[in-house]
Amino acid sequence: MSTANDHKPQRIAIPHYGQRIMPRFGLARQFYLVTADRHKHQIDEPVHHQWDPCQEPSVARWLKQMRVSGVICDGIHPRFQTALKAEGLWILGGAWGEIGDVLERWLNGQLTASNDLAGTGQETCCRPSRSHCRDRSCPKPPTRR
Amino acid sequence: MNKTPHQTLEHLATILDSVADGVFTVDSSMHITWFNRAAEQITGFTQQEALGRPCCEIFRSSICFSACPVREAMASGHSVESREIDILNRYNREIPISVSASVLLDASGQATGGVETFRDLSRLRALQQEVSEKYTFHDLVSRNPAMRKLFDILPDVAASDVTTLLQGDSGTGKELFARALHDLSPRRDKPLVTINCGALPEQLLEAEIFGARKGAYTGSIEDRPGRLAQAEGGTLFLDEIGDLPLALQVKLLRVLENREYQPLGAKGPRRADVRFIAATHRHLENMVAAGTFRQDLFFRLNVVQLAIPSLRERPEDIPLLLDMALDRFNKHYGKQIRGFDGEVLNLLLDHPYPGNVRELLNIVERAAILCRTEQITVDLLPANLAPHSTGNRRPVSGRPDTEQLQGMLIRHAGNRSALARELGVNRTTLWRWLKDCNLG
Repeated sequence: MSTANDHKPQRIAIPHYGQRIMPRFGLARQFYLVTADRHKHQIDEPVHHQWDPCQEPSVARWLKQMRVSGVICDGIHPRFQTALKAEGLWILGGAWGEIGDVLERWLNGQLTASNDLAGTGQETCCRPSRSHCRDRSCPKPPTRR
Repeated sequence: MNKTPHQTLEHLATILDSVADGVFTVDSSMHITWFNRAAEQITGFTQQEALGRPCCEIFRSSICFSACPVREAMASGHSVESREIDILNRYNREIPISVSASVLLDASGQATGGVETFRDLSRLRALQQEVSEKYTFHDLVSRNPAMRKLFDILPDVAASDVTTLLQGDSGTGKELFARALHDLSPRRDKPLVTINCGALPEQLLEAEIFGARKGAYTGSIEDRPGRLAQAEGGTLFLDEIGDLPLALQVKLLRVLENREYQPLGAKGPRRADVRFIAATHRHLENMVAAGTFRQDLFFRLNVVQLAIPSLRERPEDIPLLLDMALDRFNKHYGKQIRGFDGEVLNLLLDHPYPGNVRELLNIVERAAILCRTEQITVDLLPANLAPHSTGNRRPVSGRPDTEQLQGMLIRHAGNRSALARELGVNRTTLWRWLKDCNLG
């Protein structure tokens, strides 16, 4: 399984609206697929593809069928994270802005796989301060000894 | 003392930061121009991160690209109020919120952008979930004291392996009780096998329950295990036991007494390691008195009797069941129906439900299938619902006036047969009344 930091050429999917990254992966129907080679610092022209949610397969399976290795996206619900990972795809979440800029940041190693990927229940409280949190299911931050 | 514009803005910012609801404003190109403290807390994004960004990239709601409330308000000039949606916060957690939006106008009345306020419903949802879980027991939902009492004793009855008789009207959920008893029992890893004693003629029923050897009857070309054999080690649920023919009652009695039975055509008896649960909507005591049900079998079955109240005896459960049903069918049919229209709710709460929970579920399922909006409206209810639901709404005595007729016609979604039934008149009379009122 490849990773986001692999230096061999790989195919990446980017959900988008217009020329910007789609803020919520679950709403994405339009994808740019790009072949990128970080070693040569080279990206091919993005090719636009559309995924139809009314048709099989699921988005994760579809991306796998499109020979995608990883996904660069912004917000992504844990259920999609799980589905993509189950298909062996890596995910870079929390990336926002113009697609060209984002790809450039990724080539330069400024986006990392841990980038704001959370929501799986393992993270700590989402509020700036635990006292602000009104979500009773919110996990407590780890206590310091 | 007059404040400078700068002081006024600062004062406004202080006020907005003090409110518990999230507030943000956007310019006409939907970029965020203001983001208050509560908005930071709910979304997880700081004001610094949010200002200048397209609002859909910060708000990340389920309807940003399909039914944006701010765009709707700006396009129509009317406010959008309390729409329940969800957002994905910075940490990819889905947060239910209630959102309202209005258009922002300058001094000359020109639209300059929009304002969105939103409230975190996580706590409310958590409480709703807690209430729902509190009143739920193995797929059974109730807050009725009699039902809660049954839920309380169910684990003890289940653990005891004793034969249990479930008594309740059709549609009260006897099979769910049987399932709960099985799931709570030490036999839970073995099968729960159900047979409806009223569904088959006597000869077939005997073979179905006890099994048959090859050649036992014409066309019996191989050994056929009965439900008793299929339930070995587990539970046999005998539904509608009151419909069991007298001849088979004797055979069943033998199994209950000696744990032995003889398949059709078999030379010797077989042992049965099975727990029995029987159910009926009939009054077996009356049947015993009438000689149509064996007294000895009745006593064998009636070791523990659980009387399940009908839905009309527990009207407090109707709202809970409606919520549960809507949730279930939303998931099943992939719908996003948020609730029932006020009039529908009144009709559903008033309805006597002769078919009990099963009828309620059927009504909600039908409406959910047909519903194309976020709310179930009166036209999605079956036509026969309203006339039966008039327990509190007596049939109108005499001829109603034009306004009353018009209202009733709307309530019945134009269904004249249903309206005629409610009024207690035939369709011809109703047609004449409508014609006289120019409603025909």
